Amino acid sequence: MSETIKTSVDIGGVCLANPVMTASGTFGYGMEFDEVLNLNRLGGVVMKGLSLFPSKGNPPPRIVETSCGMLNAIGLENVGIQRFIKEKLPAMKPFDTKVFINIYGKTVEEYAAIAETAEGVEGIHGIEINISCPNVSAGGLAFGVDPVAAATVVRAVKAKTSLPVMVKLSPNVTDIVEIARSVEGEGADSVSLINTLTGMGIDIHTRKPLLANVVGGLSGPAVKPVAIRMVYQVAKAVNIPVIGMGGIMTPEDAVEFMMAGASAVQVGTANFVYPDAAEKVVDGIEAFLKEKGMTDVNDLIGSVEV
Amino acid sequence: MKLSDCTLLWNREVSPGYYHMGLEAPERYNDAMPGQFVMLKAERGGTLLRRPFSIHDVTQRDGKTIVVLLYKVVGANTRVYGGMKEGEVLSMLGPLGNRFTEPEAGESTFLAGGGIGIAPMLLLARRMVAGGAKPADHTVFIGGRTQDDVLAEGAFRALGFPVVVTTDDGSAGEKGRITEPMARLLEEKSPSKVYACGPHPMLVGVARLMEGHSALCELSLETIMACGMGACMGCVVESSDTDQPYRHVCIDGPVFDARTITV
Ligand SMILES: Cc1cc2nc3c(=O)[nH]c(=O)nc-3n(C[C@H](O)[C@H](O)[C@H](O)COP(=O)(O)OP(=O)(O)OC[C@H]3O[C@@H](n4cnc5c(N)ncnc54)[C@H](O)[C@@H]3O)c2cc1C
Ligand SMILES: Cc1cc2nc3c(=O)[nH]c(=O)nc-3n(C[C@H](O)[C@H](O)[C@H](O)COP(=O)(O)O)c2cc1C
Ligand code: FES
Repeated sequence: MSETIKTSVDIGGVCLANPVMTASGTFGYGMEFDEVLNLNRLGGVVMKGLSLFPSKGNPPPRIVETSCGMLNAIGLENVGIQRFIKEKLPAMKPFDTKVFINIYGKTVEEYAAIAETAEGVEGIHGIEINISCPNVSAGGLAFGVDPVAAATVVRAVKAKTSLPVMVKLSPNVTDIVEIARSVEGEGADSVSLINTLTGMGIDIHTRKPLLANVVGGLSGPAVKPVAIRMVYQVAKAVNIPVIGMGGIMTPEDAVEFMMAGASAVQVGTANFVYPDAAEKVVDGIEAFLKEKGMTDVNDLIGSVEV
Repeated sequence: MKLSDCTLLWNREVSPGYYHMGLEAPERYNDAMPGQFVMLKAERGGTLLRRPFSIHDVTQRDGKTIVVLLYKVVGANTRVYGGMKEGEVLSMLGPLGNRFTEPEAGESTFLAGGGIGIAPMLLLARRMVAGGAKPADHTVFIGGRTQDDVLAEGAFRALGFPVVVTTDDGSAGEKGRITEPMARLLEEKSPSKVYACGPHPMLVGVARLMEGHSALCELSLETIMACGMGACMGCVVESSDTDQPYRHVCIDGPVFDARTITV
């Protein structure tokens, strides 16, 4: 990083060397990208969503491309928190970046148990809670669509961890601000948004859904305007840092999120298209600051003039 | 680094809708293994996600490494590639995936490709020859709907391999399915390894034919992919292993022992 430009940001108990992270589920367990970019250059990486036990995921087809985006119904296939700590995390330790686990459960107890398993483990710098998952005890309604259920998860996780907690919000709600305020009230250190938008597609020749799971999550450039709007609304309403994502392909997209109020960003679907996208975003943000004669990336945050 | 911008050296329509493309590639592709693939992205036109293509061949010319692809125009991205000219650039990620298990000295094999599924078989044939295999001990089976879908026959013959052609309509070679001559020659040639790539019904046919046979049967599979490098978990096939119900075509494959997956 250049000496004249300050690129580090604080995202609620964690200081990132720069505001660029990778989004959960789009960056594997990190090492997959070791050959295509310099992991040391990233502010942070978020691991694939982890459950208490290994999870096999949904039947195929799991992905389909849509206009300027993609639908996925991976079904959160992952190795489980224990195997992650034993088999995946050690390889990430030598890198100078912040590692966040992303956790999900079908019950509040499962979320708490994962946080407990990760407590004190060296090399994990923060927890991102994915609350966009069906709550089994509430008939499958996602935790993230109910401010009370969302708050309960955050409280349970906070009770088991000393790590900073980032809560990842679902965009599939009427009022995302209400959920954000609710988790802030339970001590969330930051909020990240947006998770994927629920969508569906049909093969008109076979009359079958394009995904075996019927519905899936939409991501990529197609969702960016929705994400920018939500980041803008949430950033105005809460006092904790907001981490913005949804369709970031370029440094310009990242700057737009920061102007909307994000203290940091996550690059998701772009990693599939250009596996070095996140590093390019790091370089590009700095180039943008230079071009504008700015000396601190923090001056971008919430700088939109409405 | 696995990501490179590659310049098109040629892009010729070799049969209606099928193109043979040469790309100037980094030296590491000289070590590309038969069965491996690349993920392509055109800079202009085309859709968001990359598309997977088998490495058809790797050659050298004037000290340059050339990756050769054989592709069929089926949709938005292949249509864009079909219109690309010499000198234009494609972003290529690779080489990716695993490899076919090449034969041991003295073993005989079958290489079977249906339609565009013939693509990975040429690099396999070339590497077998480089490894000391005698082409006459092996048999290449090429199937297609019509003679227009029978590809790369000349390239295999040039390497000295015996070739059996079948078409659904009898416009070239034998009329019928590719598995018919394979079944007939199975006794006579008793191959130790059978490699196949092609449309789903063909893979089912080959897997069924080889069931209970002692030969290793390796199938190269296609699924829809987003990343090609094990990050998205999108590309799964069902496996016969209950401990590992899904395998990832991009990193566990694309080549699988037919007994380990549910075709
Ligand atoms: C490992 C691997 C190796 C491949 N090697 C070759 C090759 O050497 N030559 C070649 O021509 N093609 C190959 N393919 C298939 C190729 O990737 C697709 O034809 C290509 O993605 C189509 O892109 P498109 O944008 O032109 O068409 P799209 O608009 O994406 O699709 C057109 C039609 O093809 C179907 N389709 C798309 N991708 C696939 C797929 N992966 N499997 C089955 N159906 C699909 C779509 O459902 C749609 O009906 C390979 C695929 C894989 C997974
Ligand atoms: C294939 C795929 C898998 C994902 N898996 C997860 C996951 O496990 N946990 C999670 O919180 N979000 C997951 N997401 C959502 C992304 O992290 C991100 O919120 C979303 O894709 C929007 O960003 P993007 O448009 O840049 O991809 C996944 C997204 C994709 C495309
Ligand atoms: S294509 Fe992404 S994991 Fe295989």
